[in-house]
Amino acid sequence: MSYHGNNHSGETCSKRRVLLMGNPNVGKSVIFSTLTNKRVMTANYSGTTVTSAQGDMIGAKVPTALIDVPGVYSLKAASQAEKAAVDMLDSGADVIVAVLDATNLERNLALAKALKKTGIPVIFMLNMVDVAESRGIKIDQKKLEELLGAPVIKTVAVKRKGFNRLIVELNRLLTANNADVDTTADSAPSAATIAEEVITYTDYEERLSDKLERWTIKPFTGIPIAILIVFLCLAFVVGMGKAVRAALFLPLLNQYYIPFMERLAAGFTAEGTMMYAILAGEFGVLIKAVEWPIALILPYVFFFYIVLSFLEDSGYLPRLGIVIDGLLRKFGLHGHSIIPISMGYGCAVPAIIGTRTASSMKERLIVSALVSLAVPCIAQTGAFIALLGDHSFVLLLLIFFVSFIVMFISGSLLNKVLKGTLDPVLIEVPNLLAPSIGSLWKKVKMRTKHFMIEAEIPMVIGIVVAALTIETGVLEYVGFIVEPVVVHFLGLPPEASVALILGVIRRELAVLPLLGMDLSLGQMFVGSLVALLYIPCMSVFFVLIKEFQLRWALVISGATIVTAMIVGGTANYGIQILQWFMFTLGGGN
Amino acid sequence: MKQTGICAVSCNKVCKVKEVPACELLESLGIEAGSTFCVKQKSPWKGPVVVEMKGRRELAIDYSIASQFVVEEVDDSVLSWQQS
Ligand SMILES: Nc1nc2c(ncn2[C@@H]2O[C@H](COP(=O)(O)OP(=O)(O)OP(=O)(O)O)[C@@H](O)[C@H]2O)c(=O)[nH]1
Ligand SMILES: [Mg+2]
Repeated sequence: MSYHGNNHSGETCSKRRVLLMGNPNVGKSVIFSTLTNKRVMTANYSGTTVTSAQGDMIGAKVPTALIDVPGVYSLKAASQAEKAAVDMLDSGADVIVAVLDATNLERNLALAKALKKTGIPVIFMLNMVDVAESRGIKIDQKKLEELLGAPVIKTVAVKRKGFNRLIVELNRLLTANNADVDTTADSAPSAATIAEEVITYTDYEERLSDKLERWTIKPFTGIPIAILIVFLCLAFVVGMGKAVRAALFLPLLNQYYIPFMERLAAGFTAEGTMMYAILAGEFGVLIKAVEWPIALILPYVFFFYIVLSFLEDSGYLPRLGIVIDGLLRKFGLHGHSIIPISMGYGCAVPAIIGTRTASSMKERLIVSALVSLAVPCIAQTGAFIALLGDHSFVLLLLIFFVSFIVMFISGSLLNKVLKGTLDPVLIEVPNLLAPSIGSLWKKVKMRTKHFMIEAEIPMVIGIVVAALTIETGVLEYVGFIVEPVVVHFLGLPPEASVALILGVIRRELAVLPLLGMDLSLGQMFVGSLVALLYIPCMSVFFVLIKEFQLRWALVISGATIVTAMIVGGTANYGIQILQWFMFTLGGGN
Repeated sequence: MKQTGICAVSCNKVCKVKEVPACELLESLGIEAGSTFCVKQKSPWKGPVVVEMKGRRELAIDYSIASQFVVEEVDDSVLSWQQS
């Protein structure tokens, strides 16, 4: 069978296709971003890319589409990712850029040979030579070229080293007449023999990073390290977020922005009219549309994504997964499910998409359900900090504690109820790397921008809905639903139902309206709990439909509402009983 | 030499694979009969077994797969990739 690019069917016609292939976690996506200026997600663990991305290659002499293919270990089409990769090959390619990890060359060579065998011209990129060199691994590039019968280019993708030669070679192959190109089916020796010939291991001093690599996977040291890291991350996000808010955003907002907008609104209509209330009142859209997403939430979003991106790029998360594997198994999860769950603390959408790498449907469902139910996204966490953080740090921690308990219970339940078993997994433990500042910054920028785009429009809609419901007195008409549930069962003021309505749109909108309501600490706690567990948000609902069909999306969302009500109601009665005790005890003496 | 499962090999001991469990991915990852690796870490509660393969690369193997291996312990000196 010929994979030759020139035969492929007409629809993609004039554009040449270059496939970027290789084992997982070798740097393909970094290379793709560099060569196309398109941002795609990169992280230091296997399975970051789950669907292929396409972009126009910069520097190509003929129009060329570069395709970032999910990483695979072989072309046997055993897993979903491998099937996707084989399909890519079948639909034709003009050149394959095969990325090899210099720190792990022998294993990479098996796929390298398989790619060479397809008959499509191949260029090899020997990536991560910086890491290899620092670990005393030397590779003879000339000899490797000879043995593989194709160009081999040493690169350090994150430092943009080696790209010039890649572009030259690519152009040579793309413009060349295919007849000139050496695509002779391989007579190359086995991977082990090649490795033997080209790699030399030199002795090297064990360094701090090697020690850390050992410590992070040993339970004895790994668990204290994990606790320390979680604590440091929390302190960083909350501390920095609060500092930036207090020092920068709140003064700007209160001294300049709000007075300005109030004057502007007063210029349109008189104070006291409905129009004024909608523009600059309690839920004035001109004010809240800036105050909520930017002054209250954005600082936390920004600092959280610094932390998350750092953890992802360092390669720590899979190690954490190994240490807590035994624990997570009790929920029907594998240790490596910690990766989508940590992503869920940023936003549930990429977390749910990220579960595609999970080995079974059961595991995917459990992770997605837990993330939808009990993992607050960073925007909601920011709202919790704004609501509770100023009054009681203990209550804030208690919210997270309840979230863990709920995850534990619902995870174990789902594990019992859902059919299916866990497929056993093999995970390559990534090298611990110092994240490169450049790629870290790009990720943080991409994610923060994404938050701003995603958040702003729903936020504005939500605020207008809130202003209208409160100002028009619509609430009184639906009082018969609101009274028993919100007022009696949850013990919240009737206006709080606005939060429940808005919570459908975005998670943080289930919390933010409570800010101006003069609630008691107990009410804040109950309101936050309900918001935490309540329906995730519109975008999550749509992702659930896309990934698991409507039925599961409805089941998960329905379950979240029920859980939220049960837990919220229980908390309310618990608090009331507690207060009653304190009152009678206090009154009795 | 004595043949055992990986789970019975103590940490930092090198072993040679005699029989591989049926698992596609193992083969793709370069573990086949005859390959050697060093057991680095065994986690409690039937957690994964971490082994170091040639090239100073670590792999976490699920307990259920690890227990199906048949391996034999070998002398450390066979390893070319480890520093003494
Ligand atoms: N030190 C160093 N790090 C690199 C280099 N190239 C990539 N990285 C890092 O390696 C990690 C993996 O890169 P990705 O581009 O996400 O890998 P991938 O091949 O797309 O992985 P999958 O999508 O999982 O198949 C990232 O954290 C990069 O920052 C390099 O040359 N040197
Ligand atoms: Mg990728």
